[in-house]
Amino acid sequence: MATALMDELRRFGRQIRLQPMLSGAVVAIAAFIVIAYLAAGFPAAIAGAIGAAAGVALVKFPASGPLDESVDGARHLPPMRRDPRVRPFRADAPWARMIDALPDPVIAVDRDHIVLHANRAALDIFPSMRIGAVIALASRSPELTETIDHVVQYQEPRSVRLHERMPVERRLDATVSSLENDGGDLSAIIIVLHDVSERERLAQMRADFIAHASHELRTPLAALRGFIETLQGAAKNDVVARERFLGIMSSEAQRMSRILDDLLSLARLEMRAHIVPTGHVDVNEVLSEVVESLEPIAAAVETTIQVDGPGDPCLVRGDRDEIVQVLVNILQNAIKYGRHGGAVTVRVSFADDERRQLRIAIADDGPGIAEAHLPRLTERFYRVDEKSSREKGGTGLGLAIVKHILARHRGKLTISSALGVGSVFTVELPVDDRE
Amino acid sequence: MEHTVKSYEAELSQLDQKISHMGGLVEQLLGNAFASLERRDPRLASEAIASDRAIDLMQKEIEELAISMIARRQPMAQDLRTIVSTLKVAGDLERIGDLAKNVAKRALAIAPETRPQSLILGLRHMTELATASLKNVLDAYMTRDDVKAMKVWNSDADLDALYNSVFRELLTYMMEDPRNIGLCTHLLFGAKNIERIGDHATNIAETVHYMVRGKPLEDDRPKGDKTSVTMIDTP
Ligand SMILES: Nc1ncnc2c1ncn2[C@@H]1O[C@H](COP(=O)(O)OP(=O)(O)OP(=O)(O)O)[C@@H](O)[C@H]1O
Ligand SMILES: [Mg+2]
Repeated sequence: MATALMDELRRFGRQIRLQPMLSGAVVAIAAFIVIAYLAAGFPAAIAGAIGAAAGVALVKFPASGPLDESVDGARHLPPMRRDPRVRPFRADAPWARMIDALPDPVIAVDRDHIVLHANRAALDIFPSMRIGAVIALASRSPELTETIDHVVQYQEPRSVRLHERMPVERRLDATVSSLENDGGDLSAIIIVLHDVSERERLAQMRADFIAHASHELRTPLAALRGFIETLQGAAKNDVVARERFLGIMSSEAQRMSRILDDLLSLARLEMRAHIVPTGHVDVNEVLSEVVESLEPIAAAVETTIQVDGPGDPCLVRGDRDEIVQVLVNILQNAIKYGRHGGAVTVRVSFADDERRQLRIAIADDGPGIAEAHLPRLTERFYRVDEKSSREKGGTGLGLAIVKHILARHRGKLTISSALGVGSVFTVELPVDDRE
Repeated sequence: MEHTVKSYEAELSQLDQKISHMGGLVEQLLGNAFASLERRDPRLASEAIASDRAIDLMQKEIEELAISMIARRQPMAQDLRTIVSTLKVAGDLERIGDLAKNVAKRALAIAPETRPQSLILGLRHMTELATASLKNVLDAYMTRDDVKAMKVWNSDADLDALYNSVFRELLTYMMEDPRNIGLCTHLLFGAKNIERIGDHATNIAETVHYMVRGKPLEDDRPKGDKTSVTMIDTP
């Protein structure tokens, strides 16, 4: 298989200049990676994709006419100003299909930095990238710009470390090389990316975790110590006080372990922030499960939960457990901070006519949230009323977790509230568009 | 004739490329400036401060090219509009660079001091919004996308609201304990700078609108309707 691929490459007379392998990672280009993966036992997917051009997620470069529409509202790209010296590019170039078959993100650009082709992995990490437009829409990193210029000029491969901050923070090793045709003319610049975010993020995460945990646990620990001392001393033989103190101590201890759990799940989310979830989740199904699980705490405060949905299955692209977590956290808040005997409603609908975005609006008729606090709610440990949240066993991490999950899902959260009327938390998630 | 037209296009595209490059430098400076504040990293702060020079040079280059294009080619209507807009965008980017550099300078000044985590989280949140606006508006410029530009324009109210909230929190800290005043003043100005970065992103959004529509944006921005907070937008 591997040799067949090489033959195919050779037949089309492409010549790819390779750089010596970097840091042991998979950073080489096309042929190298294919061979490496074949050797590692991933033949089926690649063979399928290459053999029958139908394979994985093809994104074609149209010869003319409108380019693909963006997710957030249909629009067409205006024609880009192009250097007239650039010869038109053929999207059915065999190497374009090779790129599609590669598991690592790969982007091909021309000498003017216009994206000629990109595989699914690359489009996943750079959602604002458009085929036919400058690569700057994906990354304006000065290092990348300069490296592409260098490779165009000298036609020698180069590697560079990129630090992207949008839409999620990510570090990438980019290997940039030139692809020439038989005549030795430049036909494309190939950028192979390797995500090293995880490695880089680990150290930072550990530091954050320790800082937050020690900071947040200090107060409840001091309280616990206070109670213990009192029980050992002044209240030694006071049965009533002992019962009361033990009750408080037990709920403080529970809260402390929740803080640790929440911090851990936040840390795990941060580790995976750069990985786009791949599962599909039926929101209706998840929602009824979540509502059922929350019925008891709602009943305890005589609150009703009403779900209003379009009935038919609403599939979104995502991680089931995480979507559950989003809904639980928001619904729990609506019950906790809403009115005693209030009504919580959940409305599921599509955000747009094209049914690209699913909208889940969770409304309560509680006291609402003052304007000054609204924009801050998703910051970790931010609480409107620290005392009341603490009494209710809150950690102030619920909405921070929601925000992280939605960022990873390329979703959106809008919070609106009016004092004395109630609050609405609206989640939007991209509908699963794959068959 | 054909030839002249073509190389003119090439010059315009060169202008765009320079703006994009300059934008990349500014984005990087902003990211590093805040990171140096958050992580109390004086080395990163100095690096950020030094990188502002490249931005100034880039602005000069853009100005020179734009002016020479106007002088040599005497462009009309749409083309003149584009070139003038480029000058304006470069001006706003340069200001954003200055403001970000100032954040890095404050990071340097307060690096040795410990600070309450919650204050930094507020500033981080502001930086996230400003970074998103900057990216989206530069993308809007590159693709001449008025819709996207207007989204940025409207989202500035969120950053303003956030700034007001952070501002109040900082004041509370200062009043609680006068020893906090020195640190909080630096953070206050840091927050102010980030808020103004948002304003310059808004200016760029207006310029994009002017470029695409051919007439300036008229109505005033709707002042933050007290409700919506948009945290993460689909990019
Ligand atoms: N529906 C709501 N009505 C009024 N205030 C709310 C509502 N939802 C959240 N809040 C406010 O937002 C704050 C942050 O919520 P978040 O879920 O992040 O933390 P928490 O509920 O305090 O703790 P946790 O969810 O970790 O148990 C809450 O403390 C509360 O003050
Ligand atoms: Mg909560």
